[in-house]
Amino acid sequence: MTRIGRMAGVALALLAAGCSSSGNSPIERFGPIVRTEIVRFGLIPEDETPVEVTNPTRALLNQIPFATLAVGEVDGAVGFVIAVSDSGGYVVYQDVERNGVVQHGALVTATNGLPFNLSSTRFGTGDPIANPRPLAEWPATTDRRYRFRLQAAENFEIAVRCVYGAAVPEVVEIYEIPFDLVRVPERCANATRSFENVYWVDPANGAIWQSNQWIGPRQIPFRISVVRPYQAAR
Amino acid sequence: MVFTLSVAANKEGALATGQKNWLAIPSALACAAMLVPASSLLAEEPVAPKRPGYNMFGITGGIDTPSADMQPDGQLGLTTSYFSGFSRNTLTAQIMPGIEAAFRYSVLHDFRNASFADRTLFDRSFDIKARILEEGSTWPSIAIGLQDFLGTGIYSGEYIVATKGLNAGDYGNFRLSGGLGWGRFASGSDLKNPLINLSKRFETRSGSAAGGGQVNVGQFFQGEHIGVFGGLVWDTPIAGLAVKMDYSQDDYFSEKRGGSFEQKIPLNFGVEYSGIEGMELGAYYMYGNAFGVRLTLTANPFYPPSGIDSEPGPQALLPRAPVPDATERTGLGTVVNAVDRTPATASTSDRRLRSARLHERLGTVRWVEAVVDMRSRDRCPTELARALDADFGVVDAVTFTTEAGAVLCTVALRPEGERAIRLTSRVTDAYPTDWHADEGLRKEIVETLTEELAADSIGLMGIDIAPRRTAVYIENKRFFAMPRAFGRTARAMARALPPSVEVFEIVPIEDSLPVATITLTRSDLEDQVERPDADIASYNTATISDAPRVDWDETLIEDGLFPRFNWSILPDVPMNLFDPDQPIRLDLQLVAEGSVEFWPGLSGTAQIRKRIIGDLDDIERGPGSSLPNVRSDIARYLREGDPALTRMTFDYVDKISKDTYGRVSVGLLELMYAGVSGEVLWKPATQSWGLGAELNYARQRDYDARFSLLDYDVVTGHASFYWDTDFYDLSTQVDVGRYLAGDWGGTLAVKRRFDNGWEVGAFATLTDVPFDEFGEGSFDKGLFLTIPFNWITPFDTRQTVSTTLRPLTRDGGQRLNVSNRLYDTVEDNDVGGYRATWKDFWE
Repeated sequence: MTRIGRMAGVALALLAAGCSSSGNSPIERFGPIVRTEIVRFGLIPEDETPVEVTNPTRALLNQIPFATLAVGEVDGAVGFVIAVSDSGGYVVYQDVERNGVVQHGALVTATNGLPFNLSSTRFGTGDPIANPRPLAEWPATTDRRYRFRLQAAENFEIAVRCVYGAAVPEVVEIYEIPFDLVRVPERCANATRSFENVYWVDPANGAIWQSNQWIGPRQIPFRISVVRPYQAAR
Repeated sequence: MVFTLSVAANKEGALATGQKNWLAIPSALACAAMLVPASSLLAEEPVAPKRPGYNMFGITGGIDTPSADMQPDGQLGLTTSYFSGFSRNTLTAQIMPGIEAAFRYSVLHDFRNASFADRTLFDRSFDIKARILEEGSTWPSIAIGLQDFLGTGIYSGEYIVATKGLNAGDYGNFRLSGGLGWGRFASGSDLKNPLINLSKRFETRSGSAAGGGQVNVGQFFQGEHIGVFGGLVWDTPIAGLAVKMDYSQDDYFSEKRGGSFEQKIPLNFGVEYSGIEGMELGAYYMYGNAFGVRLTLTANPFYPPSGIDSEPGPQALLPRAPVPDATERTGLGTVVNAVDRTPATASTSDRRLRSARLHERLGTVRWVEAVVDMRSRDRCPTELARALDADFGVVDAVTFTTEAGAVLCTVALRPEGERAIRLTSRVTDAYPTDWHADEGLRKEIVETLTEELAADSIGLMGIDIAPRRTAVYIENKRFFAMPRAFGRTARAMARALPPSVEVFEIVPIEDSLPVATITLTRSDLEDQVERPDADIASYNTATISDAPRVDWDETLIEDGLFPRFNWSILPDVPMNLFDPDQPIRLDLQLVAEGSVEFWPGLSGTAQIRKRIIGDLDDIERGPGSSLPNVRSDIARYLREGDPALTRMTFDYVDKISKDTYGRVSVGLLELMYAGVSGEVLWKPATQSWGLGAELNYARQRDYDARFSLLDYDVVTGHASFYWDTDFYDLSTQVDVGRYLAGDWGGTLAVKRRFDNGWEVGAFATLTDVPFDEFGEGSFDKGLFLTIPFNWITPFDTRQTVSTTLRPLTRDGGQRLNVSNRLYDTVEDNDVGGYRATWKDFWE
């Protein structure tokens, strides 16, 4: 099989990987991969039709030549998004339907294509989720402002202060690869609400390989796993 | 301004700055900056505020009395109440904070005495209530109100009322109201009107004008007596359940005279439930003699039912790759992007540093020029740049030079520095432009752009490609907020156009008219996208100006674009309201419309309506005025014109200059008139007001609504003034001229246009037709309401539904119903309109 043929197989197989029979989950809006991008790069012909693959293997995923995230509800259906642009550290991950997330570091700063979307997230330079650093250098707290969009209404903003909890070592397997990480809970709160994020962190460099992140008051939290990490051009 | 950091490179390489905590200072500054962004003005998650209940008259209050409470800004209510044969149907609007207005249509059975053949009275009335003092911790809110001030005066009365809340903790909340009233509110009172002491003219309360419809100024606060009323509302601990009690000195004198109702005690009691979103239900025992019920449906434009947006996300905006030699040529050396990297944890104890000077460039960009003991081929000392950031507090960019004066590199530390570097680089015009000479490549670019825009239902009508500046002419078919279409277009341009195109011009086309030019700088877009407050930043860097007249021969993307055809078949539900024979009549009709656009601006349109089911053809009331029956014989058109050819016109619209528009329409202009209509509008995109003039020759069509004409014809026309006040979203329109019946006069329309497309407004027309000659209602007036579909739907759409409520359709003050008036086309396309919805630019 040619390289283009293999890529086509991977991409088309993944096109169906985010679907489930229930048909109601918001995460199902996340198709598997940005087909248009792959077509743009000349990796698959435009007229290929999707085939269904229920459990993509690491071998299959490894053939994707782009930074890839697995995004889904915690313990729910998973879709795949790939990095399509980097604007000053804000990396846009999308699927074929242009749904996806924007991350700075590992922090989700925006979502696209959900019923209620996170428009932007303002964070401090010391935020270890947005700007990875060795775990030993993490601050005790960090402040964030999450901004949301509502159709036909004013935007609104939720400001929180986040406090990090005790780190616990854990082995996390992400598509057949085990990682020795530490699990760090993050409790964010303001006067009227609170929520918890969880990060699985490489303590040596602060790289976050998996996280459960709050993305808004009207959305179920996301689990994000790094299938292939993004490397900024230098 | 120059700040200099002295560097004493001692053996240890320490700096003589005395700073100890290198991490804390920039972090603190960054955090401080983070905590006071422009967006800090945004509210938390919006929750519809708790609001007071309505009363039987459909305004905020107790059971049959008003209170000084107000609904939340923008709240709309539709109330129907009934007791003892009296039905009141009221549309209420909180038109701005502290001002509540209502229009009521009442059906009063057995109101007239037995000498009348028809004892039922159909009555229209208007109320207005204004708060003059807002409730404080120790004082009540106070409001003054006029009830039925513009009708026949059945419910006419004025009042001043105070309301105070009392929190009873676990037992709920109480709202206590007390007021003084005149007119209807004093009909059962023996208290002397104290205003008589000021002037004897307050002693007598005159009746309303015979035809009704006039402002009853002459009787405000007049009458022999003054009444007292009060109310108590208990918001029980059970969510949504309230108990009410009223005291009212309205003794229902008129109703008693007709024999339909008699008040036994001046008290009312009731319970209300508002636990269902958007609905209130009430049940009452009225005046010791009757049971009453009330249902109110209510909504607030500021709070859409779901707020869901199911639109796909936007395409990613792909930043251009930097051109290496560009930065060389601008004295920046190799550019290293270190934006948002980890702040320095060490001081500038780097032995290589010789000196460092802080400048402010390009406004307030903090830029350090550092001299280092390095060779030009050495690796750029990014860590040293971070350390300088720590030393100086906040630094946006650092340029390193060797001691020999050779530029080593420039490090961007913050987005401001990144932008400044980009701006500095841009002057070199670094990106190649040879692509522009290749016609095939240009064609490919247009095809790509067309495809990218089509994915968002944005039509690319024309394009003007230049090597460094490209203008696109777009038709937004999908997004209610124009800036959302601009943002999507800008992203598509950034993806499709070669990197040398630095300036994007987006020209929205509405009904073939270019209505504005939005100029965006690509570098700015690249710097803003995905960042916090990107909407504010993009609005601040965008330029909005008039669109010039377009030479479509040079601009259309392809020769075969015209002629183009459009058609639609849609259901419609026209209504006839307030006819005493039957207050509501409805039709379900199908409206088929087809048009052909021969060339941008030149088109032909035909529209046919066919009744499916309904009773509009049952209207029997004929013309009732001595004026030419220019509108009042609408019933005959409805009876005889099915199917009706409601429009068949040839239209031409064009720009006369960059801020002036023109229109000519010929043919069957509307259901009742054929003729010629011409219009000119002057409305620069950068100003909030405009002027227009319209001149028409109209001839009445035959009742079968086909091609034959009647004898009546008229030259009619208006000069118009339009002004978007920017005060609580209020817009006004004043038209002065000659109306269809040949009468001369003017129309004032005031509406509140919410940012999301809701419109609530009222209009009134006064002409030289005397009130008694006009007939019932005295002059033409009405209310109008527009609801945008995307307020309800989970997808974005430009569709709206509108209705106009006229208490009566008469012949005075009537205008032609021309379909494509120019101001309606350009209304949202100006600086004010775009500013209101720019928050959606990046969405």
